[in-house]
Amino acid sequence: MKNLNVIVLDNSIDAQYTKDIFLEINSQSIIHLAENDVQAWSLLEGNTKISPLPKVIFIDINKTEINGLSFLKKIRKDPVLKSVLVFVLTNSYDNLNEALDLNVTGFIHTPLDKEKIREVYSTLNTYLEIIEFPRDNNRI
Amino acid sequence: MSEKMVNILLVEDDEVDVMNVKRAFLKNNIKNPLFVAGNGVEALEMLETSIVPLPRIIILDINMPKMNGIEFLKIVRETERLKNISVFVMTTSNEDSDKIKAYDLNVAGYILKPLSFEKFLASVATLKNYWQLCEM
Repeated sequence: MKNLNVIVLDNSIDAQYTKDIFLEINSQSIIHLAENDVQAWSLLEGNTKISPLPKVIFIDINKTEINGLSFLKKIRKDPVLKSVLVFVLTNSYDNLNEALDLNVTGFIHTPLDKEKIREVYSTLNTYLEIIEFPRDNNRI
Repeated sequence: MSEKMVNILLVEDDEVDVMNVKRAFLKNNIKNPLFVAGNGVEALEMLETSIVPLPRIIILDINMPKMNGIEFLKIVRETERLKNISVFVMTTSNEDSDKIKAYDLNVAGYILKPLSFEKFLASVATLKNYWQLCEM
């Protein structure tokens, strides 16, 4: 099981659910919740900066308070953060092309059914298990 | 993704590895059209002249003659009509520098080619499940 440092950027009650089920699937992971882009940026670059940097971000870019697209653009412009894996998990198809143009790692349309959501995160975790990350933790 | 049957381009110079990918696709019942280029130069020619339909997924080796995977990827990311293609590196290179360069160019994943075919099959099965989750 891979030790993953993940930020979940979602301001709905689903965020805590995401954290709980992902920890059930991968108990070695560390999950940080952020309710909006400002909080998330602070975890990456600000006063509450996490060390080592998270390898993965799960973001719902279609929640208005999150400013998801501008957050994504900011990450992709940053010389260090640009390499972080960003998965969009959202129950809307809005901003699909914009997100793909910003090279999100994956755009995943989340189902409403909770059991199916668990399957999504389980598949995602299995995928994260087979991919390699650089050993230098400060990079990604 | 399974319903849309997006095109996949494999950029790989080793004929045995090309055969392994084809076998793994067959065994995993992956029916997406698969196109093959032997190196970065050939892949760019195929993409620029529309010899192949535009792929949504590229499986990319790193160490190749003429133009390596990283050089190819850099051009893909700088080219407007190609820049948003999902790229999955599949290589024997375990060099940190290659991983860093690849993730800096926003690959969706960096996968080490497993030594046994059984493990390779399992990796491709995982990729298939992941692709089916994603909108492309």
